[in-house]
Amino acid sequence: MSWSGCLPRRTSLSSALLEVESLTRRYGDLVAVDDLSFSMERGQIYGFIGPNGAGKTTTMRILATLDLPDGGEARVDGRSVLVDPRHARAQIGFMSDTFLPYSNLDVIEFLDFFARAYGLRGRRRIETVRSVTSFCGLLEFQHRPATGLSKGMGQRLHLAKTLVHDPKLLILDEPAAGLDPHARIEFRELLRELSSAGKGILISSHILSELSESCDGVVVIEQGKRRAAGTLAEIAKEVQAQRAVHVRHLGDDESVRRFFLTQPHVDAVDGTGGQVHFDFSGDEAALAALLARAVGAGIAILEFRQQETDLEEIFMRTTRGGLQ
Amino acid sequence: MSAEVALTRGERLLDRANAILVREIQQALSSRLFLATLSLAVAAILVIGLSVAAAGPEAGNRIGRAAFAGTLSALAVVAFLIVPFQAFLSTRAEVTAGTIEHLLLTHLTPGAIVRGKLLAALTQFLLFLSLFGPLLALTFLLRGVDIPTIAFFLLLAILGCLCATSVTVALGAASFSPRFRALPHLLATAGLGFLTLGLVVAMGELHRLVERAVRDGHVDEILSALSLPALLTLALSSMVASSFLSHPYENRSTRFRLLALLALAGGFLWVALTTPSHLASEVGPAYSAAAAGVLFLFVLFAVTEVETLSPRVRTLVPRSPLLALLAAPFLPGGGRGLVFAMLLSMLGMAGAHLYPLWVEGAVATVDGGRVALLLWLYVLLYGALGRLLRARLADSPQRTLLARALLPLLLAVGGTVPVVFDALFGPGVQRWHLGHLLNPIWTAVMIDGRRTPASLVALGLLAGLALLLAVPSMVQGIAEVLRAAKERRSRAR
Repeated sequence: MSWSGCLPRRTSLSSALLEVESLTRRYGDLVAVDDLSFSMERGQIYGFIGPNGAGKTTTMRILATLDLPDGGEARVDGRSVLVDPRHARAQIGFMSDTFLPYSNLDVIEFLDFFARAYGLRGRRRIETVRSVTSFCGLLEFQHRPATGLSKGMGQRLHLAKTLVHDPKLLILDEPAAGLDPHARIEFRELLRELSSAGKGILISSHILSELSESCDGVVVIEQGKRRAAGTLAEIAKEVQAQRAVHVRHLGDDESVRRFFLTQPHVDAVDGTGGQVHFDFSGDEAALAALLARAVGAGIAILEFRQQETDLEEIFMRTTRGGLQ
Repeated sequence: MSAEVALTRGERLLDRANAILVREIQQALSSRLFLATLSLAVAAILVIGLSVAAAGPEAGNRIGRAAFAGTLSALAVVAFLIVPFQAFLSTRAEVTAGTIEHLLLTHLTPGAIVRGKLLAALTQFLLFLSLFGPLLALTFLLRGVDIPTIAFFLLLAILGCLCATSVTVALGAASFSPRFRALPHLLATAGLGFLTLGLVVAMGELHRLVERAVRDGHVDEILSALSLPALLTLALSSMVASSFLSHPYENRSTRFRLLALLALAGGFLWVALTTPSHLASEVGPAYSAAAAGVLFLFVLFAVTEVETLSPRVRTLVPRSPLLALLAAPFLPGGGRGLVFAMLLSMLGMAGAHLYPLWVEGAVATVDGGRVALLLWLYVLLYGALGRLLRARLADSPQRTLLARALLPLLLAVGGTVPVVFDALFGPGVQRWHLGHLLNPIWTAVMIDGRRTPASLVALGLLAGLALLLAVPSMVQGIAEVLRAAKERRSRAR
């Protein structure tokens, strides 16, 4: 059974691939991860976002069995990472934020070493190394020294090393940090292929636009606590209790602003040059009624729209931005 | 996907080998250090070979002996300097770059990583040894040296190389803290440098000593007296290296405690095999007393551990209450560590008195038996004091370090202050009094062989009191293990 046997297809098992329950990790008085819970399914890409020092790396290290929690539980493929770390390691591919390959080894020797370390033997090892080298686009660099690659190629080598034992869950800590836009797009494509092959991917990044394009869901944490978790649509709905509305009109700015200020559910009205925006806390029917009242009041409206909630918006609304 | 992958004979041979061994050899063979060492080895061989040729046949066994010493010196540089230092640099690089974490995610355990490094060191040494092989054969042909001497030195060189490598791997693994990274480097550099220099300088004298031992038929005793401590160092430093590579929440205690017990019991066996049976009543207690001094280090570490079981160790506690109870003294935690110290001390005391009965059918000499008893009581006293001290400090690695530093300090202060006081304000340091009770050396020296000495009684009372005060900690430690066993049973249901 070769590594590439799982590409490209989507498995349809229903149980959660990763379940995190009340995970807690303390360093003395500091609570780095505080009662954190979330789950994700097979074939999903989940963004793991939070400010610096929010506890992302600590959580990822616990899931990868490199650290141990003081409380709580995490299960990969139904088995506890705490009780059965060997099983978890076989299911997890962890790509840390730092990576320094061995000197005096070329790319293929480096991957062959990790294949050996993961217990692959004989032809299976050689075929697997060849497959991951090819999948990660490293074939033409296979005889280059592993330490002599560019940042982008180095990250591909890191990913290849992470994939060598064909894990079900990939935990990627800031994999796109330091990559140029071209390398980032290529990297994102690789992740999409892996996701469509049924692998679950938990990825942390500060480049939120990157995540929003490739993630099925996100987990937002701050000061070790979960602020939001779920698919982008679910969270957007959750945080949109206060929706932002944008209005383009042909009237006088001051009178239009005054009109909206007097309306129910409207707050924080601002704008100039024929544009007004405000926060609206009512439901959809109330928003439709507001539009009708504005038209009825004689305001010539060119555009009346609710602003889309993107990942940055979610991040800003769910986190408090305090010092970590 | 091509299925046409054929393995070469070499690949088939290496297929099941330790991954670290394969990688270390690959890296070493393509490093500049290897090329430089190879060039120097070839140069040394040429110099020694040409010197032999230049001396001519009339020089006879004199030049043979000189060539042998020269060859051994060159091998000592490889075995005690180059190979261990390369292992140090490789481990240090893995630890500082964080590569070690990637290795721990694979099937490799910390133990397998250390074993791989030792095997790689052995392979490299054997590679260099094969280069020097013809030269060693030449020294034999020149009648400068006999086969048993060559075999003796080669065996010790292999053991020494492994031993030095295990120590440097432990030092490399200890380089995880950026603040203290310079210290292991300094220790490895200075230690290997001085060791190699000392061996090269003393090689001629060592050769003469070994020749004499071979001639007198004492080679077995010398070999075992050198190789047993070397094997113990090898095992201990490999365990230390594995511990540094493991997460603090992993079980890093059990193997050390088992090693201490095995070393104590194995030592009695070695004494029985290597000393005449009519000396058993003296040798047995003397060995037991010496073991108390060495094994105190294990007790110091055991009793100063953080008390609570880590989440990982809790999952490893046996489910059966009886097995959990039996395993408790070997599981991490200071209270359990003190129970282990009591077991170790009982074995040491029993060994000192039962060994002469078993081997010679006689009782231990009064002095020897009392000194052994006295030193094991000191192990218990300081073990209990260490536990009481650690229990008063917070649960953090820094406090553990503090306790481990304070206990030897207490021993030093308790030992020297009364001596200094007597010397300055008293009649001089001539007699033993209660003030010297914390000083094991002076108390052992001044012990009275004819009647039950007051020092032994006072020490017994003091150790008993300290142990009594530490009973809650021991009970708590064992109760925690039983609770963890119960948790595991209920989870399994």
